[in-house]
Amino acid sequence: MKSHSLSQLNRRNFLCGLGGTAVGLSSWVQRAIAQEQGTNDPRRFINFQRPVGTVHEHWWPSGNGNNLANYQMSRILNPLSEFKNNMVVFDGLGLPHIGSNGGGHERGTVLTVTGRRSPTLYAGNGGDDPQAEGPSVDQLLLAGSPYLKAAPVASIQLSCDQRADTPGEVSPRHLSYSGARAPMRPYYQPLQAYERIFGTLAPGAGASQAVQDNKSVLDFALNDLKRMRNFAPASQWDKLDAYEDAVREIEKEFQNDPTDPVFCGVETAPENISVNTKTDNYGTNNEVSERDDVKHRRIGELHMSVIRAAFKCDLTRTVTFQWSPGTNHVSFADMWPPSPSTFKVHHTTSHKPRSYEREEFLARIEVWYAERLRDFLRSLVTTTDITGKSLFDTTILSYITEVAHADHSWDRMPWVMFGGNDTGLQGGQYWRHGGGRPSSATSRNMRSTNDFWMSLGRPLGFDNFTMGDNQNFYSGAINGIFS
Amino acid sequence: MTRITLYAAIFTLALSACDGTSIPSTSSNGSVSSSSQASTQLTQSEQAFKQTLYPFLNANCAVCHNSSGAKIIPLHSDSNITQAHSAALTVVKLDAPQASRIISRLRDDHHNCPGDCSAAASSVQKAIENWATIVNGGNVDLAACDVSFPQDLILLGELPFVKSLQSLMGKNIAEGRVQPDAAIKLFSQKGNIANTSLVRIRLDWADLATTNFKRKAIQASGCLMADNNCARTYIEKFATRGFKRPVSSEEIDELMTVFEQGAKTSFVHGLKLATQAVVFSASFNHRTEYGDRNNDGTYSLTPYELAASLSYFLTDTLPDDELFAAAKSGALSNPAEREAQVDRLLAKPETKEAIEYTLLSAWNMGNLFGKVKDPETFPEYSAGLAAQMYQETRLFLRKHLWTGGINKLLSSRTTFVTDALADLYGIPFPGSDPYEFVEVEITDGNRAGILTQPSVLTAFSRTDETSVVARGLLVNGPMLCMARIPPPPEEALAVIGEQLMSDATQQELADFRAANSPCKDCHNQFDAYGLLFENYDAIGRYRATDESGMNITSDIDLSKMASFDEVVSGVVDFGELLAGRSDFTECVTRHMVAYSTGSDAIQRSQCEVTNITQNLNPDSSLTDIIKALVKSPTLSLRTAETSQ
Repeated sequence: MKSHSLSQLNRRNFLCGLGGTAVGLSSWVQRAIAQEQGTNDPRRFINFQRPVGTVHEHWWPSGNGNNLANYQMSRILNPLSEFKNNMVVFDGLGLPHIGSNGGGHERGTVLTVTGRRSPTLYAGNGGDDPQAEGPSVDQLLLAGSPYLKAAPVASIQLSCDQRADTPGEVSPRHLSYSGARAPMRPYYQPLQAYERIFGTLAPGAGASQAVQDNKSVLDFALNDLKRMRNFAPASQWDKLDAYEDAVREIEKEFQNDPTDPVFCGVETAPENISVNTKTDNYGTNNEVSERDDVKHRRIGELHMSVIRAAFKCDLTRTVTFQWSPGTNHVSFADMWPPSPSTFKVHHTTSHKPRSYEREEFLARIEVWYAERLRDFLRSLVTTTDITGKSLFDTTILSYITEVAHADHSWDRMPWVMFGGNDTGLQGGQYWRHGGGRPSSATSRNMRSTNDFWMSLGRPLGFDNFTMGDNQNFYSGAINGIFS
Repeated sequence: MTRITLYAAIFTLALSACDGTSIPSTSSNGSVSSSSQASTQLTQSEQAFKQTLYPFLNANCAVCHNSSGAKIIPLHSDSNITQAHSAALTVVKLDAPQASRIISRLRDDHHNCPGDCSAAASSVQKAIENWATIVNGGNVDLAACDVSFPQDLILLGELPFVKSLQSLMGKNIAEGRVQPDAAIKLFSQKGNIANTSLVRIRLDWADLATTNFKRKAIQASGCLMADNNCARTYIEKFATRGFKRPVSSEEIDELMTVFEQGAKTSFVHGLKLATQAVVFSASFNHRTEYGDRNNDGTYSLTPYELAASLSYFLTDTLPDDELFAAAKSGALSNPAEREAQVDRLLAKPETKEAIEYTLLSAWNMGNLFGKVKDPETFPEYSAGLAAQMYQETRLFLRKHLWTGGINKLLSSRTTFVTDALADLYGIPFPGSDPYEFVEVEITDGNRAGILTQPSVLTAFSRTDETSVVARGLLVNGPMLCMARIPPPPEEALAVIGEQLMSDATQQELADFRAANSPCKDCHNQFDAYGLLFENYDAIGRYRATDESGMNITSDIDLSKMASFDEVVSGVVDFGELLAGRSDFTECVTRHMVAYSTGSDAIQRSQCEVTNITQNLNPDSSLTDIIKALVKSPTLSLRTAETSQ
């Protein structure tokens, strides 16, 4: 276990921060001291999604062996090639879909993040909306990892587009669940995410009174829960426990001193963006009258700036980032090869008959998403945390999607794991399934995607981390991914 | 023959048509014993099987485990009872029902459960125990309807939460904020739990509701001066409504502590903080169904719990003052008082509107929102037109749900149109304002009832063409509550993809599915329903030819479908056929039971539903169904806790 002395902190950054905001940094300093005293280093986990799978012809690197150094990066992965030594490309993962219900993207999303069968559908919602039957990987990791627990905001969920095929659909819109049928709603509006992270309280005068006010409200809630427990049947206590846990989490957020966003790297609050809620009419050619990708990119970048600032000041360590539901309604310009000026909807176009134009359209969007990730990773590299370390060094990022391909197949899921130098990731690998027990819950003897998640147990301090509702759905952590 | 007798006779014939066997007589109290009740055609065990486990299997497993379906072994859901009985014995242990393989398949393997797997496993175990009891010479009162819903703590969904907040603090509190859609309701409320995300959102709502609180505080509290006694009175009243029960002095004292903290800033701020504390609390965000214990071990909901249960079922919000008063006096424990409260609440348009939305949600009509259509094929289609379609169906429900038999929803020739809708129907618009709805009778013979309305036809179509599958599944599931259809097997996915990519018409795709396994094993259960609709395009216009210019065959043979033997000429005929049967009414009743109990796993064949429908007749309205439901033990009785 590593620890860093305060004397080793990047003095310039630290003093600069103190000079800028002498008020409101006490909790930040306390966490620094806690680290010095041997508490676990922070590690950070981001489950980072892009929609609609990939184009296999343009995804898989070419070369031999399992060392990425011997590989020519593919067209889609090429933007990420500068992170070659800090990434593992996986080939041979299958989503354990046997025994589940729901649409391709809907079911894929639930299975991806929970690893558990989803046999039951929500009434309505297009008739293909499965219910999650357990917590998602980010919440499972958060619950058990000593590296993720200490932050004031336990976890945050972000998404850049809320449109799905029907207004009430749950499964494609959520990457995070605290339990069965308990989705963690993402923030679509970056400003709301910013306010959640940094609070609405200004540091300084009046803050103490506001903290006491909040405390009195939460204290009543906790006393109320105690009373409710006294006359509730034991079978209902888990519901009261869940409510209490949530109140305690919020209590923790309120107890955190207001932290100056400027010090954390956000000069100004994100602008209020008009997040799309309505689906533009599209026809058989999937064209719409307006492009969404500019706004889509802006929302994504603002969310990423909030994540970066939250990481810098250690305000959260667990994040889910979703570009869009798998049934992506974002329309892109400059992607359709014969006529770049047309605006086509991503998901619906993906279901047109296979053609050069369709494959090219999908591949270009995949490249676009990879470039956005590259820019984010670069910013993590250049931003330092409390100890003066690069944020990237202590961050694990899973780059996932809910289907392997637009045809809804779940074989050869195109997933990548990124990890900084302090995470223990054995980067530079091209992992291909050739060992370990294949999962009978996948098709064609793929290794379960749950094994991918179970590999995270080691770097995040678990003795044994399991995903999946029974052993048909996992076989164990993949060896050699983390040291 | 009276109407009731005729109705019962039709229902009995329909049942007997399901499995090709006769319905044995039972004693007047419905009990079946090993000695005297067995039918001459069936052995004692077969007869017991037929009356205990088989109804569950037939309703939920027949698509796959049936020799006329997917033929998946064991064929325990076969139409032939003898064969089904033999197959069932391979997965059932009559000497140790709880160890039966069929139970572990549901409970442990989650094998295609109809709703909640634990509940399904419990139902199956109970059925096997009854079967074993009869075989061993015991008596089972099959007519008895055991209370199947356990004591529960129910977390309010976002819609009832926000509506409750609005009931207390005014509708305008939600201005400027995305509100939950009243037209999309959550049927699965059992077992839902809170998390940080949800609780944080509730806190945000509490904060929003108390923004600019000064004027509201004076209005709500009546406290014109900084008077702590006045504040206490306000807090007690507010908390009592919010908690849906009387509050204790301990609770009021604690809320006064919150008030006093806020009052350090100002008197109004104190009221604001106490208000937020109530709204944020678990007592506000839940309702209980614990009840008081009876001698037989069941639990009768308390009058306050009954008031909340009734109110959230009918209005999605807190009990109003009259309902709360009826709880306080204890009158609600009397079924007659509950019936009277239904009459009172249904006199309010907002109550009817809430229930109409419940039914529209059950029918998945929310699919219409956000539905896009190919603008080249359907240039007249827009979100505005879709909204008019939805409104037409709402007006139609308002006219036919509440008086007279609800089967009129399937056969009425009148509807409501705007200018644009009249154009879709191909009739002249008789009104003066093109956006005003006018009631019209459509006499061309191509329209009858809700199934031929553009809202349904548009919501259950593809972007550029109709969808036999979506329309067939609509009839099979939400409209008739028939056997659940499992998702396509994995090996069929590639074929499905190819078919969807092809240029084949809907009729050609249906022909392909009907001729090929594994498609036909399931699609034979519902595609025929979908084909009945082919005379209506993807936005509901009548047509004689399909997209490829081929004449549409309107005569559809329903004989392969469960419960039907007829050849029907289009969906108008089908609606009229259904209007003479009980299926639709039973399914609507099932939806009401599901929503009132928060249990979407309930089946149309379960006694909680059939105990209500057996007393209905063709003239029964939704009011009758709701009254029967609120008087029944389904609303008022719960079993002891079960560990989930």
